[in-house]
Amino acid sequence: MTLSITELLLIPALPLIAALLTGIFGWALKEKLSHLICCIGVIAAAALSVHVFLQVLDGASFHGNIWTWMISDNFIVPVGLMIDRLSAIMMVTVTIVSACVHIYTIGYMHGDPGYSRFFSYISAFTFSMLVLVMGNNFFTLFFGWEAVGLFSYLLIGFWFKRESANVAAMKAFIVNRIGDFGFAIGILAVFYYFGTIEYKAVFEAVPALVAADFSLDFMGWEVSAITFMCVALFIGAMGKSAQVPLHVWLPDSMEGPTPISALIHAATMVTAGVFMVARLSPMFEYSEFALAMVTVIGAITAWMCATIGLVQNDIKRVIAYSTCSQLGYMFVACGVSAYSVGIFHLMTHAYFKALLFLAAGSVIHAVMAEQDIRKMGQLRKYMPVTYITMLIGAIALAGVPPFAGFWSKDMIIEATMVRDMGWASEVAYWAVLSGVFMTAFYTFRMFFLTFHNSDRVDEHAKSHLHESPKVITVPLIILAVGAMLAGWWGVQALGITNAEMANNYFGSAIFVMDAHNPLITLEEHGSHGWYHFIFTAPFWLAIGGIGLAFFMYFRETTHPARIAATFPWLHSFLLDKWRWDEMNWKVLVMPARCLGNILWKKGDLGMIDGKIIHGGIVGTVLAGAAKLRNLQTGYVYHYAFAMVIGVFGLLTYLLLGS
Amino acid sequence: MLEAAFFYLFGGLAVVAALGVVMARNTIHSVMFLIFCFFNASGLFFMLDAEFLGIILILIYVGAVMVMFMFVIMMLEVNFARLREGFLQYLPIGGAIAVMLLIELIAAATSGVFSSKTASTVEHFGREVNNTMEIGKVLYTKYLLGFEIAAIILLVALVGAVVLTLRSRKDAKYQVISKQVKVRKEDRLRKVEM
Amino acid sequence: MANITFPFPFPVILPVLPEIIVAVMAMVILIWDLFLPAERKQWTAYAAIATCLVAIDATLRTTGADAQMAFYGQFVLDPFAGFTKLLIIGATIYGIVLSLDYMKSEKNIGEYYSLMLFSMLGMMLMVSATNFIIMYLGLELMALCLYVLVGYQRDVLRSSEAALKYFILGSLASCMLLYGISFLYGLSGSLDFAAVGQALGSLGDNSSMAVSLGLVFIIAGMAFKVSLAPFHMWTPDAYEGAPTPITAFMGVAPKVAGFAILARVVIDALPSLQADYVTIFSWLAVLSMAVGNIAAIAQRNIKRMLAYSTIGHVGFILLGLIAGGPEGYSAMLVYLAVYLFMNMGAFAIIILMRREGIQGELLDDFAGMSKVRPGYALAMGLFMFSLAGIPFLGGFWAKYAVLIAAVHAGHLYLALIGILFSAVGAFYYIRVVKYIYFDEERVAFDFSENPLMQATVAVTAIVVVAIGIFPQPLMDICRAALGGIV
Repeated sequence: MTLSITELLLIPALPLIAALLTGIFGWALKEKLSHLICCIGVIAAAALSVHVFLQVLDGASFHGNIWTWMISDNFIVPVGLMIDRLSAIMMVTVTIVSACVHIYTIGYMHGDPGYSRFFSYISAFTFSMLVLVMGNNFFTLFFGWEAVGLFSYLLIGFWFKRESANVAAMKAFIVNRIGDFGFAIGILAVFYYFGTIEYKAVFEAVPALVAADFSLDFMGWEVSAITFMCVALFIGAMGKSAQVPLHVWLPDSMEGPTPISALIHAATMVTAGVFMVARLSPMFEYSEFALAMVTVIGAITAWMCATIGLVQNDIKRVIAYSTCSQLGYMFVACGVSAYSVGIFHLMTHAYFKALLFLAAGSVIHAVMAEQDIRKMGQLRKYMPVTYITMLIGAIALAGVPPFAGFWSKDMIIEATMVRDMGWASEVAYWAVLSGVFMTAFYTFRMFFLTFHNSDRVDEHAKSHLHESPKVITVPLIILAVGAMLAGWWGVQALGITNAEMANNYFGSAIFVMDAHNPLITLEEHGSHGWYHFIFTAPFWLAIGGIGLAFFMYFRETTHPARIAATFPWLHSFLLDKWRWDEMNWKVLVMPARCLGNILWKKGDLGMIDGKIIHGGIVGTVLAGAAKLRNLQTGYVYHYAFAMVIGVFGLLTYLLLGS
Repeated sequence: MLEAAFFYLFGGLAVVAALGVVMARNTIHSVMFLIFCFFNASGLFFMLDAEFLGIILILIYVGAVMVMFMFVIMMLEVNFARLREGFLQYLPIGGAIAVMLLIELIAAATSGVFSSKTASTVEHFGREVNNTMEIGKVLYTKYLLGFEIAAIILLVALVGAVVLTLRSRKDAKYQVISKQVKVRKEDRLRKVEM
Repeated sequence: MANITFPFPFPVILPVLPEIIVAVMAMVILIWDLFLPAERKQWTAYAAIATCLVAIDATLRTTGADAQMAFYGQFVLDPFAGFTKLLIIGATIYGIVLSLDYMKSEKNIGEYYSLMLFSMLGMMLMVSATNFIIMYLGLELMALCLYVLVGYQRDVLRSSEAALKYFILGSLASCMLLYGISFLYGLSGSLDFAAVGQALGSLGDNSSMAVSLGLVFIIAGMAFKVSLAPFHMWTPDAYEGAPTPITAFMGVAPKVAGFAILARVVIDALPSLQADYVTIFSWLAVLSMAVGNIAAIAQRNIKRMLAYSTIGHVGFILLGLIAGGPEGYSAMLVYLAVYLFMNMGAFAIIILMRREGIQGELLDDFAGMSKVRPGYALAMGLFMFSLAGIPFLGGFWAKYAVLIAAVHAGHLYLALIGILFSAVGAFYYIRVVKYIYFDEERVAFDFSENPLMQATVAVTAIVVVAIGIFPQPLMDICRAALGGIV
């Protein structure tokens, strides 16, 4: 059974058309028309995605090229679609979250001078993300990859009059470039070794390449070709999905408007790396080293960002660090070959993290753009809907059953536990396990400080304090439903956690070697009933984290201050985010700037501009231009003479030559 | 032998006359030289038994075109002195190039191609052939298209000349006779209180 | 009635149908104009456009995949001629549309449009010629009309001056052409391209000097018409002096016709001289690219600047002719087609800028245009970038096609020189964009609001972008258009 190609093409086309319309004619459109166009485009795309998803559940799929963008010798760049169960679930997630964010934006951005520009950007972003997940080759992946990066940049710097927004946008872009460099090298290596960039052909050729045992010498280090490719591609994923040490841009990206934080920097774009690793599972499976690297990097990120999240005071930054941390979980899942669980966590995370961000946005909106949780408190009295939806999101994030986060996170931890990868999985297991406690703690710390504790809202903001309008609360409710049910639905209805890939939802979309598959091992340990969670550590750690937060922050206490005073060094170390920014500044930015300054002033201005360009090339050309202008005297006989000289010259040349 | 003598006579005179056209200081003299040049060319045509072309050349070019040229030049006042400015300045280079070009042209023209083989004796030599009719036959059959295009070119030349010259200038004063006739006393006469 | 028998075979006239339509309509317009009241003289323009459209239709209908001969083999209608005719008619339509507002206040506009049609007729005959006489007559018909059109604004001194210069130098060029033709006739005894080609092929070595002389003079005469350096000197003056729509028209149409017939001459009549003409063309191409692109930098008047830009572009187009073969000739056609659109677009914008009857012609006039008319500014920017050969606009593929053809034909150095000068050329095109987008407005212009013109600009811009994104269809058409000659 194949899918209707028109329907498939419409899914990315609708947001694109909407983006172009609002982007080009935005200056002429009223707010209402702008958001109508974009919302209709994206909601229709979401409806079509759901329809496609249902067909895919029935076993439909699509694979084919639609258009050849470029042919250069044997380098063929097709544009095509590959719709299977992996891309279908991504499409549904992306479009539904995007639709919610679109609706939410109507209320949130109301009155902003860049209103239609904003809608144009987020619709265009949706298009790019859909291209990324729907494509059937590395080129569409790369196109989507770069396009989402571009819109991320534009949206972080959306309030371009703010200095900090511009700096954050640039930081995001530059850090992503580092990752993209690795990514591009990976894609080129793929083309070099396989001679094609289509997923299917590449995947089919992988076993042969591994069997042939190609290896290359990379900076005096012997690596097998497949490892080289996977590592290079994963470096790209590290940039896009904010993994240590390229995670520094994500918290700063909170300078963008909150809907963006929800859509791009929590639910969709940052998960592109996880999607990529899962999509390329037939490649990663053959490289033990790459898998170990994915696991370790993910584990470090999961743990480190959780510790930073413990002490942050900016409501959006807490959630942002939590995003980094959760992305780490997803990578750990992929690293231990439980790709399906990783994607599962990606999906559940998309719902509850988008919910948390949008709820946070609602709060920020209510307290007059204040983001410091120390200046909030007791907000539950004013905004009950936000309160309840955010509570649902927090519980889901903390991993309390039966909410969405529990199902996926629990599976990750168990899979990590049973997978034997030497020290890598050991480290990862302890990191993700301790992460659960911290996650629960910082989530509820933020939650209690915002909605309970004592009332610290300043007077000015208090007079405006009110529940947000419907366009904001309705998406919250939709996402809250997702945050409650997505996990249960994924396990029970889709069977994402089934060990046998044949019985698993993903089926052939993800490739796992049986020897690697932790889910099989897990099943051998014995199947548990639904209540088994009571006997597992993660559950009790989550409860413990919530309990500690309750103890310290539900009412105003002096515990937090005392603890901070007891460990001042640790506290400031965490508060300064492990001093990554300072280190980057000293080790990378300063030397680069010095070098840049030298090259600019001495090399470019002095040598190239001054001596070569202005003295040499431009001088010659300008002198020639002046001479030629003087030749153009305006006298007919000069012109005629030039013609005669021309004839004479050519004739002489020919006669002498022959 | 006699034919060769006449050829060189007509040819030489034509070259001399052509030189006179460009060298003469007085424009009228130039035109006269041109007429002389045409006569010689016509003589060359006659020697080729192409009487029709020879006569046409005299009738149309000498009789009509050149006479008109003469009128036009006499009506224009051309400043001869200024036209000659800088003549000497360009003479060395211009002259050198002209001489070298001439040598090249002569060399090329005498390089043996235009021998008697290609420019063989005219086929109809000595036969009773009507020159005019033969040209007409070719002109209205094989060269019909060219003939038609030439007609259009003449039309365009005509239209172009009219367009470029026939125009009412803003500063020109025209007599409008009907206006003059229609004028009444009140229009022109004004009483002034003294 | 007795049957009329012609004393000679009646010529086939179907292949000449487009030309006949144009010739008849040009004369009809000439007469019709006399009977039109002054306020309706503009109708002649619409009649001229209609004629062009009918001519396009007739050309499309009569052109087949095979060559059709007419008039004793002196006229041929093959895909090559058909395609170039379409380009020529397209350029004429542009010229007429651009004239609509510009010439409104001029006298004798009936004759103006009629002359444009006659000029187009000359070019159409030229590209179909397989005989030196027909070629020469077509060329003269075209040139004569252009002389008059350049000097159409009699009250403008520089217009008359430009026409006179153009006329005198054009006559000199025609003389050279005729002189060259007479040599080839003397050598071969025929004026048909094919016969000349055969005769020249069988000539011995001792005639090489005379052959070279004929070759050089013919090329010199043709090079003048397509303004290749060093036969280009008239171009800037004539461009500046002519009414702007005529500048646009003569910047494109005669170049198309000139290159088409040049290609036909070298393919049919001079195949045995390939080494020689390639040498000559290489010099002319390098010189044109150098002169055009360097001298344009020193210009302040945009019409003069575009005149030099034309010289640079014909240098590039010549690269296609030098490369030869299906690839080279089709690259030449691609370049001509793309050049038609981008050049016409640029001139359309220039014509749209006028203030109280004064035309914006200086570079300074473009300053700050983006703030007043962002749409026009965008279009002009696109045309300039396209002329500069920036990917992915039409101009890029045109340059790409000729350069690749030159490389494949083994003229690597020519291609490198071409790239060098296109880099130099980018400077002055992008300078216009700089004026438009980054400078403050200095002179306020009110722009013409003629909807037909605006539509023309929009369509042209879209075409330039479309060719830039999908170059393949155009390249395929141009390759197919070579059916008749290669």
